[in-house]
Amino acid sequence: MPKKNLVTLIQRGAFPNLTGKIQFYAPSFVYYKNKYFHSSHSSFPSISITGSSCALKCQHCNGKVLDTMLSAPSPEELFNVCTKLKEDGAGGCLISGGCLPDGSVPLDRFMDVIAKIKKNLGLTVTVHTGIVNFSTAKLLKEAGVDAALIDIIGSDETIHKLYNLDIKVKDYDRSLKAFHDVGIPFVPHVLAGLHYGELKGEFEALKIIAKYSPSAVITIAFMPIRGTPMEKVPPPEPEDIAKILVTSKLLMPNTPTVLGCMRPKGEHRKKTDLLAVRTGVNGIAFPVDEAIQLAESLNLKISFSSLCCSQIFEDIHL
Amino acid sequence: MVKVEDCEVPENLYYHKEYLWAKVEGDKVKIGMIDFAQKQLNDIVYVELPSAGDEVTQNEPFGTLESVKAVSDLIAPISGTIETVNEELESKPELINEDPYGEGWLIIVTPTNLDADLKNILDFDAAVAWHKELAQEG
Repeated sequence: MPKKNLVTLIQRGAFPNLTGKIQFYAPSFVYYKNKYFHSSHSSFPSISITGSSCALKCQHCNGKVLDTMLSAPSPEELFNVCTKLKEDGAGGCLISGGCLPDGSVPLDRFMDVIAKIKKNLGLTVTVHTGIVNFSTAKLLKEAGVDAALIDIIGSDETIHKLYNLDIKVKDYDRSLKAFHDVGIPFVPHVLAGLHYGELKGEFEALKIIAKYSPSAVITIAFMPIRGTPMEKVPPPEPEDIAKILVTSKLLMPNTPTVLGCMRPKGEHRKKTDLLAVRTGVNGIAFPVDEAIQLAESLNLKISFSSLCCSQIFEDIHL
Repeated sequence: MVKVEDCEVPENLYYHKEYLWAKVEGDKVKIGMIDFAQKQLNDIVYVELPSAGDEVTQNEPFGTLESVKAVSDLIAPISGTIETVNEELESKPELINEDPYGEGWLIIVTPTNLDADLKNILDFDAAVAWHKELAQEG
């Protein structure tokens, strides 16, 4: 469908939010402050278990995002960081990190400490996994992880060119199957516009995701980051992002659809967030004021959480 | 100027705990973001500021700032009428990262209640102590 027609449909209310409510998220890995909500500096931070190291150095990130995280490159450090977070009143954390050359995050040696964090500290723990096999998925489940998060790429060409990875779309499919089979909550992310700002494998990614009944689906979008090879590449248009949100909702009507934290900033973010509300999304991370006001004007019940938006399946049941 | 950890704290400025500085220059006040904040926020990618002629009120939001790590209101350290907005930030928001006390300034205002407003924010000595607290909090 041409973008213009889709936007017309969205503006006419063709995709209403049938739950009557929308959940906003502001975990502390981004500082968020407006008249509606103020995130604390430690409510739900992100932690890198590889420090600033990443073997892939993908063109859109180049490891830069890791620099924004707390660093805990050993199990002992991870436990110490989480203990401090607990003392400071954190609700949980996102455990992330750079990838190995095979597209996985080196989680295995952290499994025992993740289990200890869950058992002794009681934090909500979400984990960015990268590619996983059944064994790793099972260990995550046994460790008590609250949700496994994974970016799903639906184009072999994009995987090869952008992620510098020698794997295929079917490997992401297998990862989702592993999560599904072990029974861990999992929340796939679709990165709109990753292929140099253009939509390419996103719809295929959604089709694969839809096979496995995820706990929620999060749409994020490529945003140019300074110091990366793609810093000058224009991001996807807000209408492209809306198209992914609508497709996600239509393919998986009983699965929460969320606009996640990573997306272009400024005026672009305003347009995206406003469109997102009108697509009937169930949640938005770090919404602009105007989107909150729009939700209110549509008589949606709004609430804020300081946890990660991947936890929406605990907040909204479809 | 002193450094607390690796953050610069220049003298002759006043500091608001919402992470902005104010510099009295004759009958005007220049406002910008403190070094600590720009370092915490990482790459600043967007700044939305009001226009010349608009009013700002101490402790009230007057703009927004976005970075890889932040989506936040900018809170005015003093009240006044905006005389000049740093238009260069529209195309080069990174100036706040590169030169927070110089070319990365945000706005210049004509204050409306300066003496009273300055009593509500930090002078240099108090700002140094505050920066030490911030450094300890990590």
